[in-house]
Amino acid sequence: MHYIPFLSTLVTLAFAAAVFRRYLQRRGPHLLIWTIGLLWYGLGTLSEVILGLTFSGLVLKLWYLSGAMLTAAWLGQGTLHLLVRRGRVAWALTGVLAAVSVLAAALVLLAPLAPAAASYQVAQPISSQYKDILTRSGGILALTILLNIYGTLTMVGGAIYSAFIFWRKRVLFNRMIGNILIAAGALAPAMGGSFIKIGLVDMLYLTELVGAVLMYIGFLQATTAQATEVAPVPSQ
Amino acid sequence: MSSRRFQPSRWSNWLVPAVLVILVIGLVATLTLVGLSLLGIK
Repeated sequence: MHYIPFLSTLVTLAFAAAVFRRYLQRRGPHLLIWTIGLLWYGLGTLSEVILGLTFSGLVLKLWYLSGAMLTAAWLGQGTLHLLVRRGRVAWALTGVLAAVSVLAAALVLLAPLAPAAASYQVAQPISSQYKDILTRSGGILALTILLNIYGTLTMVGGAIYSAFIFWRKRVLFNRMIGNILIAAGALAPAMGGSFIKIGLVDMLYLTELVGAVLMYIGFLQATTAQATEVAPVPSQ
Repeated sequence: MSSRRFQPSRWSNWLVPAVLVILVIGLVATLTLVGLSLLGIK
């Protein structure tokens, strides 16, 4: 089971590099913010790799901060920049998200570890043990939930909305398919977090890998030139 | 935006809307679970 986070890390870092390369070519702020979100994603899965080898309180906190709190929110923030281009709304919300992220980092890094840390088992996934080890205050829990609602809504909702617009207008078939894959990929780890709540702790690693692969394929599909096999219809 | 248009095939006429509806259901279900956590129910 522990090789899955390793694969997820490789996929996510390759994905982040591809998005950043496109940012250097196109300069869209959404691409830079997606890169930040993907680096959080990769830091989360890399932490799982390390925690599968040895225990470190700092790595556990980085895992929680990046994976449970910041990844979805920053990926969703990139989508918001893509969809909301009027005025400075997206930048204002990015400022708020940055401030909340700093607050979240302070709260998590300062949170005490419980004595259960001494009985940590590397053979078990961290998703099945962190609740007993990391003392999460009310502030941490509230921020985790709010950041996840915001991130899931903007990332998944934004991709579904984009796909629907392309479908309704019958334009850019490849972007429509790409957005469907991105929505499904973003939903996978979000559902993985919900699986933890109902006791299926092993599902998180798998949904993270599936999510990273689907989003990467979706990104490649959306940024590739229109496929020739799609029958073109003359413009009006 | 490019004006590159496409003509949906017979299968995609029903498959794409069905997939979009499934994704919306998944999104609503996930947000509901997270929301229940917020209320301390789950």
